[in-house]
Amino acid sequence: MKFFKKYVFPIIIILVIWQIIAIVFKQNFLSSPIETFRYMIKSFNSQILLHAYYSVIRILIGIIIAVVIGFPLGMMLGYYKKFDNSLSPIIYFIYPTPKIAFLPVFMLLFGLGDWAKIAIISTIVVFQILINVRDHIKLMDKKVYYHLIALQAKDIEIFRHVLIPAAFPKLLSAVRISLGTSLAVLFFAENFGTKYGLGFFITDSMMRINYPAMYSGIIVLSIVGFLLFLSIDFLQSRFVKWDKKA
Amino acid sequence: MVNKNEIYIEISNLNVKYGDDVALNDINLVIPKGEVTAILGLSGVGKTTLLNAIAGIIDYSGEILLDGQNIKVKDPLVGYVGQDFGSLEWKTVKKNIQLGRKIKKQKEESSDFKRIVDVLDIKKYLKRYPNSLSGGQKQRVKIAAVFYLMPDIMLLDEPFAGLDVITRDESQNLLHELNVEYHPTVLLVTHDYNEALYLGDRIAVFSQSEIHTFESEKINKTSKENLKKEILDMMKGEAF
Repeated sequence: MKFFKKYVFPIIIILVIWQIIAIVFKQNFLSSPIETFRYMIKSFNSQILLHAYYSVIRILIGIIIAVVIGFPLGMMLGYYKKFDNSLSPIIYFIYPTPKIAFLPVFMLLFGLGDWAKIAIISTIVVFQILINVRDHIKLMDKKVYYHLIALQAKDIEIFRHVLIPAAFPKLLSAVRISLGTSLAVLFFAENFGTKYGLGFFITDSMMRINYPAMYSGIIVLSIVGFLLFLSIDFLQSRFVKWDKKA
Repeated sequence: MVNKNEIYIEISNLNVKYGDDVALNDINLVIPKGEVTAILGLSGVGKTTLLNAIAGIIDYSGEILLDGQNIKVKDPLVGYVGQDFGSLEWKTVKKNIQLGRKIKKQKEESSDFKRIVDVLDIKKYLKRYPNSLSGGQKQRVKIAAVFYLMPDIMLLDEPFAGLDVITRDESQNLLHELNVEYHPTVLLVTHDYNEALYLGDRIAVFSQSEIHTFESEKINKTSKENLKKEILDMMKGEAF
């Protein structure tokens, strides 16, 4: 019942509004939800699933690479002041640059295939993680682990018992915040050098004036985003049980 | 005076500064092995700073020796409970209690664990996280963690503050028992004169950056009332 109230009910409202708009305006490009879902059901296995698969794989690999690089680096920047002082100027220089500007560079570096798209997603997410995790560790009161310093705990133990669990919620927040931008950039990037992916599918359907297909792609892209958000919520509830605010 | 052979920790000319503020000025103190030294003093005189220096948490000038060698080189097992630290909120109560031994790669002692957990009455929330506990319950977890570690040096900064009367008495008794059994060297910062008298083999009184120590012989010989008056005068700086 809670799930219905939280997720299903708002979706029903959106669909009803969409149907009303489609009926009232009667425009060719404005497919109704009924037409769209009919198309989706018909071509889900033959087309949409394959495109969704490519998009999901690209975004997952992109996020995983960003986490593997950004999380430890962010913690080290927050913990080791000298390291932060030497690396922060470079980060501050790159961070405000719109990451999409790197797409041509990545295409030249990695070719037109998957890796250029994965690299652009990683670049977007990694900075968000770096800055969030670094700031969290920097602002953390060292008193929290005074008793471990008294035990002469090694840095690796401070990381394991203190910094990793303390920064994990921030990591999830950073991924959550950057998900929207990542999906937008993925949509854009999938219009170059590929015939697979939801970005390609949506734009290609528009060009072919197949509007039910286009809307199906948009819906599936939204569902992908929604499921990624839910996955982060799941990770939060599974691994951040201690944080009542989370 | 402490016999020279009994000196365990020797603090000489200890100075600590926080920026331009002097927190400790030329402190000298000797602490014998296996005894409880209760530290009394008004707020802000530097009692916690002294513990932080011994724990190796803050920078200082001067010397802190352990058995005649720099304390950092000797690397003793130091258990520290502070006013606002001693447990990690992302670990369950049980894991918090076991953490010290895990870090020092010591084996688990289930009978000690059970005894400490029973006396401090925390068995029922071993699987909970500290932030779901009351202030007093959290304090008990910190005490359990340091007791279970059984360190060479126990630094206790007002460990029993915030506990209800019954738990406080039982915790104090447990510290007393552990002290009799395995003789850790304890530095206990407290504001409670009676607690200092009950637990302390010696009482160190902080006053205007000087420390005056009352040895156990004097404590036993002097009447409670006179001792209290003398200590209070010293804390106010009137005896100097």
